[in-house]
Amino acid sequence: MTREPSDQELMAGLQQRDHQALALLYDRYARSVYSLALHILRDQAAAEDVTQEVFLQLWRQPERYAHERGPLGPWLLRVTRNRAIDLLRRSGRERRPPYADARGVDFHLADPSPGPDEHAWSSTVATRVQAALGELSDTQRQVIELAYFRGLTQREMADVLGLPLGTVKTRVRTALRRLAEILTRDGVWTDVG
Amino acid sequence: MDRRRLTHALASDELPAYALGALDADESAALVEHLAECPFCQADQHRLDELVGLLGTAVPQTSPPPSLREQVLAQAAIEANAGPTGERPTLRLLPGWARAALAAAAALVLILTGAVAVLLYNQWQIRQELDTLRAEQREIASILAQSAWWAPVTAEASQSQPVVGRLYLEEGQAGVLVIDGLSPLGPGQVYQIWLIRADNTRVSAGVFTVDASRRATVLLHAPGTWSAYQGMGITVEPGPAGSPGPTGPRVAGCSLADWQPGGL
Repeated sequence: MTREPSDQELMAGLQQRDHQALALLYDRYARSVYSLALHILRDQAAAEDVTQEVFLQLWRQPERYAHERGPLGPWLLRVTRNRAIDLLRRSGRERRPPYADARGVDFHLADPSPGPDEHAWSSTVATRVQAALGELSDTQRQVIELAYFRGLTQREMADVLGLPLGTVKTRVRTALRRLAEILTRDGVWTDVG
Repeated sequence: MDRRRLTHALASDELPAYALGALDADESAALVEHLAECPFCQADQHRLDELVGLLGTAVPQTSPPPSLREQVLAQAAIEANAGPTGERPTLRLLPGWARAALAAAAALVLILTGAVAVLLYNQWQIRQELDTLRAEQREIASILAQSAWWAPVTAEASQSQPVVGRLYLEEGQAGVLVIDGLSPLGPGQVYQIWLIRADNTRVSAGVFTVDASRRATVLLHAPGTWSAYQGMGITVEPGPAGSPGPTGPRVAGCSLADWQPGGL
């Protein structure tokens, strides 16, 4: 049985302008990238644009990903999220109230229903991340959602939620630190590569 | 710039919000300064960045249309065949006879207009320059008041301070580069701003010098929109007009991937 090439090997292939390496990375991560872009933008065409941009950027500048900064999957999703939020802010779509309607509904806490072409990390990791998010309080999850999916700053969240800025800051800090603790406890950090 | 310096404890508290992109512009700038000096916070930031990446898995999964795969791979193949210089527009010179004719015509016009015309032209030019400066000042004020984005401009390692300015971006193609901390240059030298395209080609965005307090404010207009650029670099070039491509040492720059929300 042929061993699947690792992300690192495929990234080395990209450096050598190996087209096949890009195809394999696309097959491995396109579904995760597209799903996240679609969830943030709620627009299929815009999500396709973001997905295309993310992979072409990877093709043009594979050196922008540094292995020392962590596994490729989370890095790609971070790039995807930043591009999608960038687009969202430019379009101004999410600048209209009420943001508070987003309370507690954004993260998908159910079974992630992985596709057949999906790389193991996204389905197994997603299950654990969702379980970890489920361990947070609603108010903690809410601030992460508003920042992560809507691109709101802490000050904007304080305005939207009618809370003192200090309270929002505390919630953001404790929520993300708590999440890190849970994922460390569950060994997710060792599974993402 | 007059900005608070963060203690390690405060910086550490703000790292989760920074990883989520939830800090205001000033808070981010202060944290970036601290991060440049603190290996502990850098390590923590990398871990939190990874965590934020993992959050992206917690959404309903949908496959992209199969045509997108073909589109991405076809575009990559086109770019691979074109090579890094393939997308650059080629400059075409006029044929020799046409250039000679233009030069002769220009010389004739100059002789006919004479000294009076030159003086009138100079006066007109000064007025135009004043009007341009006033318009520029108004545009700079407007961009600074309304800018939706900014990125910290960091110096190369040899400079004494890590953050030497900020690039404020307006939606579209205008921006303002505010420099605070670049050394004044010798005579005949200028700082030149380069916008870096996704394919790593550079486009000049103008030249500037700093005053004795090491400050400058420069109005920029990006060809196309900001989204076409992945970064900005500043090099030292011969003045007054700079160079067609970067030749001098890079002294500072910023990644446009690090855009932060918020204006002043």
